[in-house]
Amino acid sequence: MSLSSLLFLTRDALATQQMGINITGANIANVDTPGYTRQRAQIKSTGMIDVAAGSVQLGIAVSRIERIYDRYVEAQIIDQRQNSGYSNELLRGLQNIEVMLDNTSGGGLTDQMSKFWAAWENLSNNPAGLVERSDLLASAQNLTATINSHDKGLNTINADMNRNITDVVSRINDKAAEISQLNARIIDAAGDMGNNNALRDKRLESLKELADMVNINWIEDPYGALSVYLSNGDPLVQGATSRALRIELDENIRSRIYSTGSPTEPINSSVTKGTLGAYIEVQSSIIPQYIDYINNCALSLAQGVNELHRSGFDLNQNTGRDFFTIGDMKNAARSIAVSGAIASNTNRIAVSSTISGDGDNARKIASIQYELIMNNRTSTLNGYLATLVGQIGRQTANARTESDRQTAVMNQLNNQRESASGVSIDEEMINLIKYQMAYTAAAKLCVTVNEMLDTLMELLK
Amino acid sequence: MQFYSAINNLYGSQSQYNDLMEKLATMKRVNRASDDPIAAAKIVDIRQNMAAIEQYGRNMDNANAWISATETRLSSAHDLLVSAQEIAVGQATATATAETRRIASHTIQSIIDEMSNLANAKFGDRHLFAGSRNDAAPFSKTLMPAKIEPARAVTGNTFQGTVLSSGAYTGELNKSLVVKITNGGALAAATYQYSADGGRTWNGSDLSLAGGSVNLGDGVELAFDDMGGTKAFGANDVFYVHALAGGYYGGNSEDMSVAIDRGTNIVYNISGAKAFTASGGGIDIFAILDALKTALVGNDAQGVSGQLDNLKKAQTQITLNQALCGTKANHIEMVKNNSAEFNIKLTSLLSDAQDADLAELATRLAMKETALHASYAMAAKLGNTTILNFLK
Repeated sequence: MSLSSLLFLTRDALATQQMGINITGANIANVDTPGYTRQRAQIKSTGMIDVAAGSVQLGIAVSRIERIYDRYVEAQIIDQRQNSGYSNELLRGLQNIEVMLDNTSGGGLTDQMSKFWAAWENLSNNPAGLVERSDLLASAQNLTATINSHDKGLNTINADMNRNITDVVSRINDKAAEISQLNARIIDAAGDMGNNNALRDKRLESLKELADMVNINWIEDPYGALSVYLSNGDPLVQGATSRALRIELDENIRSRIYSTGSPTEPINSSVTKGTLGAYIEVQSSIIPQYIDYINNCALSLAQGVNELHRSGFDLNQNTGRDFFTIGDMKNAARSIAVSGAIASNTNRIAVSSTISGDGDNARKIASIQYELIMNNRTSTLNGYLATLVGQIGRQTANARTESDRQTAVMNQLNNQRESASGVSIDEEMINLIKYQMAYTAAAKLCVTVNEMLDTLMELLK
Repeated sequence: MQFYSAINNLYGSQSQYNDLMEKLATMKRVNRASDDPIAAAKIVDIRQNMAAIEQYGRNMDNANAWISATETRLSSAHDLLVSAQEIAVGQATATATAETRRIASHTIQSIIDEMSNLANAKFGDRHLFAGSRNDAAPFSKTLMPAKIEPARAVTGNTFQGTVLSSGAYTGELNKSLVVKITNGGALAAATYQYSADGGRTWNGSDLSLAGGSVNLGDGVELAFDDMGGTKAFGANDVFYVHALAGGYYGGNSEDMSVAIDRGTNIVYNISGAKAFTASGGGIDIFAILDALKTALVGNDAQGVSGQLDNLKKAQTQITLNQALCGTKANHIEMVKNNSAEFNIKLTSLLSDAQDADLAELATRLAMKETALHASYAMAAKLGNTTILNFLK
């Protein structure tokens, strides 16, 4: 073994330790970067030669730069993000509905309803009273306005959901395109390890963001390309190509989502996870359910009151007039209103059971509140509203529990990921010291070899 | 990783802390339905019940006012009858002369006027003793023969032809007879239903108007003229006629009731017919006062003393109705007490369902505060536990 080869060795050693410091530096710099995977230089010795005493390693090199990466945890994170994306958004959607339908603190629909019945009672005490009549008209108008606004509120949330779905679908398409582009670059850069690792980190992060939004399956082929499929098997990303989703609004102003694999049949039913799944759930089953509730309420209220009101006599002794009008039977909550004839003249409120101006009909109408007119004649209007409040409360509470649980699981997985792939400053600092020492030692070696060469040169003089 | 979990812990502690703060600030355990869905449904139910009780309270106050107004009038009527009796007793004796009887007859006349005022008294806009008929004072000072008032078409009817009443009323009670058009059109095509109790109940089947005349029973007939088919009927056109049995009373015997509890109605009016006329099996007060006056004017001592017994009966009749007022007032009072008690129970139920337990909340808040402080302290400490501090 020659002195000059020793010099080469020190060159390799210096370069390798410097590479180690570079990688440590990269790790430290990315300590906060989301999705960054800790890297480590795999160092191996090279150029083994045999001497009399045995074999000696003559060199050192960085064989590869490794991503410290737990494949299983990452897969679980991708799965879990589909669940937590879903439950967090579902909770948000339900909370919006809850705020609107909540009656627990007063001022809501049940309060308006109580005031409406009370106004009838007051009128039965003083059938000809103008004040009582206009009070009834005002409370009836408040009641119908509240019912209308509930319907409007639910429809506003529906419109919000359409906007959300449009947003999220365009983000899904963006992410799918991003993954397909990254696929192409990863295959191109297969030889360049450092760069490839960064690309893979980026692709994994995009995949996770995609998982937040929609349920996906994915598979990586031997060349490093990642293919992503929807749960029904339609492809989103295949190698270097991505396939966009498309949205149309149906006749109920709800979003229908089509994929290239299913251009005519909407794929809504197979999207059950991620934020998109939550929006579809809120839009297609939760909102219609509460609109139905409110519609039933409006319809039964109008039918009950109208039936009695038609049989009564008003102050002019006319009979047979409806109190409420419903313009559109399918959307009772949207179209319920106090009849225009009554709103323009409160004398037309049919308070009396007979032509003599008694208050009996008002009393009968007020007692509708105790009649089992809802839910196949098993529940009063108020009981029905209480059920409605209980239902939205229960759904929201369940969604909150589920969201908390998913968040806890997500935290756990993130911790696991961090412990495997996250950067620990302590570890990096120790590595830094280690590489620094090795560098110093290699430099010392270089100086020593240099001195030895000098000594040798002196001998030749 | 340490920072990551520290942030999560901090976030968790903070949101629980905020939750407790909200409950403390509102003093309510249930601030939104999802805080406790079962309690939320219960709260809605209880609040509605309480609103209903409040309304029943108003109804009862109103009925009570009516009843006490009625009671006052009846008590005055009783006093008037007592004075009439004193006069009758005085004028029935042999010491009374034609002159004193003539003077007394004037006093009786003013008693009759006063009695008529009492019987026609109003509470608010309504006559206390008219039943449900409110368009005219119920009592007249003079005896009226049985009659059928002119038929009336309601304003707002489509029908612009004429309607006339005819016949001789044979009924015992005052009635309001109503004809309602069920299918409009010309006389030949139109159908009607009729009611003998002012429109509360109907005969139940559509009848043809083709002949133009309608027999409503008890001798009452209505005749419609559509001017040779030029004046059509509209559905829900209403025609009515008041038929009065003879006597002093022009009101009806309808009850007026009000809800005082869930499913409980109370009749709060005293029937004028029963209090002042013979229709309840009693005695007609205006008739005996009239007879007394006639006897006094005619200087008929026997006639005067003949009314003494009737005056006694009349007082009893009024007293009975006064007692009836008392019974009604008692009933209301009882229901009122019950509902006050129920209201207290509901209030405590509502409080159980929605109010926060302050002591528990304060304790939990203190605990959370400690936990939150610990989280902060830990987060602050995290920065120190790195090897960087020791590499100098």
